[in-house]
Amino acid sequence: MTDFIGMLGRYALRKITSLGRSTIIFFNSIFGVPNLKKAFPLLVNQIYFIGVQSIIIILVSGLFIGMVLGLQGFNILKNFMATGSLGTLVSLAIIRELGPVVSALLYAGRAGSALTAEIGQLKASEQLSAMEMMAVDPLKRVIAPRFWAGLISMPILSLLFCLIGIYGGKLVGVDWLGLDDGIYWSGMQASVDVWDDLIPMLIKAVSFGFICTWIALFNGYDCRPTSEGISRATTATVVQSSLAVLGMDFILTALMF
Amino acid sequence: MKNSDCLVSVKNVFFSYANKKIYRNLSMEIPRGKITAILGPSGTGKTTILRLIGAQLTPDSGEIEFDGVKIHSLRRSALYEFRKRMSMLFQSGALFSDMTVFENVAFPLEEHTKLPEELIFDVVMMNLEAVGMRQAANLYPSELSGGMSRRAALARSIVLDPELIMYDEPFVGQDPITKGVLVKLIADINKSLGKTSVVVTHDVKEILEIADYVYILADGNVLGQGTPLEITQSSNPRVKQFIEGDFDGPYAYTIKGSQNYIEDL
Repeated sequence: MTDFIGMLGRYALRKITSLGRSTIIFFNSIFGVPNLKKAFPLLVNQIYFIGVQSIIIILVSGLFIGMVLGLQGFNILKNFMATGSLGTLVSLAIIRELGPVVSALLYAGRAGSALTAEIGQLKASEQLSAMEMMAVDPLKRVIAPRFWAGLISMPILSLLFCLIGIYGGKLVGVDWLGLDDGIYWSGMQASVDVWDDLIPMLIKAVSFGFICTWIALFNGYDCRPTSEGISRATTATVVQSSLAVLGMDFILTALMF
Repeated sequence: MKNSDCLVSVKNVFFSYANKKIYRNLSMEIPRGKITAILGPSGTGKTTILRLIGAQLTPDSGEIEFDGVKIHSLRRSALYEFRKRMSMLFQSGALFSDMTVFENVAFPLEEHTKLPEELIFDVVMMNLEAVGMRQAANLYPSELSGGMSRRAALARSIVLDPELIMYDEPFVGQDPITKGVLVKLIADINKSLGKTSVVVTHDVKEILEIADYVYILADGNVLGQGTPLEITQSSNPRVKQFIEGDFDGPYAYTIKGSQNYIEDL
């Protein structure tokens, strides 16, 4: 029994220590005064790596999800003679939920895992230590640009997902199944509101960008500097980010809608 | 040793890592402008002392002073300022894999100076020439041999003109010629630029040729110290065993705690 309590205590201590370390790293990397002339090119590079290179997967997924939603929505609404609401259904479902959540999950799988592996590899090959010994703070040089790039990229990726998803719904509902073009778009226009739908979507996207990027960077920075350590950290990033996104989505939905 | 003669002082340091006691009351002094060798059997924490001096690790107790300043009590920003005065050659070289050799060597200059590009180019090329790597300036680390990586990393570690250069196992895995080149480079850098050098190594023969002072670490403390001559003439059987590389002696090659061989079987 005492062994069990001791084990629980050690586990709790480990988790609290890890959380504390993560917070310290977070503050040191995010709130350090950056040298804009040097930081800007690094930020642009990372936006390209994290954001631009994720566009294809976001667009393709968004298109298919929109198409599936259009098909399922049309078939269900047909039973209630309400196919005219397809535009409303697709746009609200995508803007309020699927857009930010699915793009965050894809982001965690594509960019998050890559970030963890990259930082872990830098650590394992002593490149972060070398940077420290050259009086260059890796938190500012390596971690901060990646963090800000994630925060900037995520809402843009979510917006792109929403755009292509709604277009995917239109492709199936209008172009394939014959719903009137005007009904689809007017349904969407009438039901989607900037303040009630778009802003909460962007808030969700920024929050998910924050949590996914942070989990990815911390796992990479804190991983054991071995092949196995990097592999575990990469897996942990995807699992933790996915769970965090889904949990946070519920909280944000409950608060905002 | 007078305070002014000593660039780094390690005072009564205790340090543990993953429940293993690495140092028990370790004290040593690194003389200014000299080459100090740190020798010792594997696993005695030779690299750890370099990381403690660089404040990448923090001792459990005790102090480490760099030029009279307690380096572990500095704030983060002050510590980074201090690190401009020291550099470290890592065992792996630790070159940035996404940069060419030139970019690697230029990196500290671009981060810490406002020199114009042309001047940075000249300084980098001069440093690469000094280590015989000018022709490899445009190669990536993955295209270099171990010895070339080590030399490129050496060029990078001296480019900011630091007062203290720490070498972590610079000769490991090198062929005799490259080893000779590295020994000469370390000696030349020390003599011509007047740097303080700390070399952690297992290569007793090579380092005794160039070192001014030697520490031998074992069991978390200093086993022996002195000039290379004093060390080679030491009567301490453990020092003798290490210097002469004897299989038989007070140091067993087995790890402690594995005495119950029969029971284990």
